[in-house]
Amino acid sequence: MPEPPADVLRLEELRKQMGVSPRETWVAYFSLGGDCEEGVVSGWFAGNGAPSDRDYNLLAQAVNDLAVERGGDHPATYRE
Amino acid sequence: MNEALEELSTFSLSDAPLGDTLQWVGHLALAALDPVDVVGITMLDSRGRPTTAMYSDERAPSIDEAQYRAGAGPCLDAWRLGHRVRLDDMTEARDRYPAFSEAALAHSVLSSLSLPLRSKASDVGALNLYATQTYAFTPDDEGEAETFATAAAVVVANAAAYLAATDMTVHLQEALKSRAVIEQAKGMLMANAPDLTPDAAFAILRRASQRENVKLREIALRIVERRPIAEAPDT
Repeated sequence: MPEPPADVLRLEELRKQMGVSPRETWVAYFSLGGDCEEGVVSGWFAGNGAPSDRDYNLLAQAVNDLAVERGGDHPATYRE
Repeated sequence: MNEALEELSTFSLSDAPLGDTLQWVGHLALAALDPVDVVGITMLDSRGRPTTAMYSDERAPSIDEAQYRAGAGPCLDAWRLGHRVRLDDMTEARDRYPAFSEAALAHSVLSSLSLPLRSKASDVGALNLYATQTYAFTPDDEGEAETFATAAAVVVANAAAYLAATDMTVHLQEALKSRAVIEQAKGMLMANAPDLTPDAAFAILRRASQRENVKLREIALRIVERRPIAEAPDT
């Protein structure tokens, strides 16, 4: 299985640093308007497929929202 | 023992907190298994770390914490390996589990029996039985404890699965509300700028969220409620 893109790996690293579960991350992504199923999103982190730019930005925002909840300040970068 | 098993069989799913179910299971074990002085149930916390989710007295979490820190102990092995681990004399367990046995001896626990809590659906944790005598657990006690743990695992797994499902329902209800607010805010932005695409409208929300360091939903809510958001600096 190919390695996930570097920016996706960074999101996964941030998720783990915050101690947030994959499910919590998916719920945050879904709450922003993400349409992909939980298993698909988990697969991106394992290198099984890759998110589109739209989905990546939703996922990055999900991570950033979770960071804000924990007193952080938008550690994830977006794709422009 | 039969009474304890009958009691376990009366379990029905409800909105009772998981902690209440664990307390009930733990105290049934304490009452049903004669040699037991202290009971604990090891499960994973929300961050995936082992924790003593139920205990009959403070000695259990103190003893268990030593094995969690060391990453080695009978409860962890019972859980990982899926079979019971019996320590008849804690002083003889020093080589095998040094941190755990020291903590146990410090709390006058001289023998222990740890059993996996396994159902068909999942490995939910471990049941930890501690005694203040050496060689407290006979083969008969071990068999009874295993029978109890098998029944208890089903109860604990069902309670945990029910809790996870109800939690998920609540989170998804919140998520749907959030999506609606964000869609409404995007619609309002697009109504004011006909060339704006949905993704571009989302990007505006995203940048405001980053600028003000608040959740994106909060920015969307301000737009929907026509409350001010900070202007983007001139570039």
